Amino acid sequence: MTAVYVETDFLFAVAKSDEWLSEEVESVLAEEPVETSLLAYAEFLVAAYTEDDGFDFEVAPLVANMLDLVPLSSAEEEELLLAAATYLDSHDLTPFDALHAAHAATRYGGVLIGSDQAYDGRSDLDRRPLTPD
Amino acid sequence: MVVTANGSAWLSCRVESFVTVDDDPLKAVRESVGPTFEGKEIDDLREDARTAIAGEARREAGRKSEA
Repeated sequence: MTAVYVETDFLFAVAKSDEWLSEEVESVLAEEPVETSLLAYAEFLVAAYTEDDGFDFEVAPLVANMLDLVPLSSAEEEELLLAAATYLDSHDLTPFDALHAAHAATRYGGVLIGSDQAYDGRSDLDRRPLTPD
Repeated sequence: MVVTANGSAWLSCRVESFVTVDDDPLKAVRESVGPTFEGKEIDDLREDARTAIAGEARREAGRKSEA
């Protein structure tokens, strides 16, 4: 059966037990396969993140369970998202920094060219400055 | 298992240690998230996320132009 694409609203309804749509979501999950994109997960993570406090929960276990319910279209993307979630739990990174770091670490040998110093000091990342720091 | 292109043992170990799915993943997700989104409408959450993303993009662009 071909999966149905779901967007960020669906992820929020999965996560929110107080949401009136949560029962609808449960019905969809029971009836047909769904998939989403890294973009939807990025929006979900940004909504849960606050600059002062980060996340109120451990991200990687949550993402592992979410991916079981709402997978991405490829195993490679799921590995990338889990890597980003791991960075979020282990380092002081924003969701977008973590996704960039995960791309670099899982697909590009850890090498990343950019001016953001948030990636510095991590053994698995080799940031090369865009301009002299 | 995540095998990183540079064979990062740190990342592989960290990811592997977290890749466990609960028997009831929906319940686990809702328990993990807890009150994080409580009292917030889904439309507002989506709009807030997109506003934050736009702000992040502007900050990023600002950092690059300063560099």
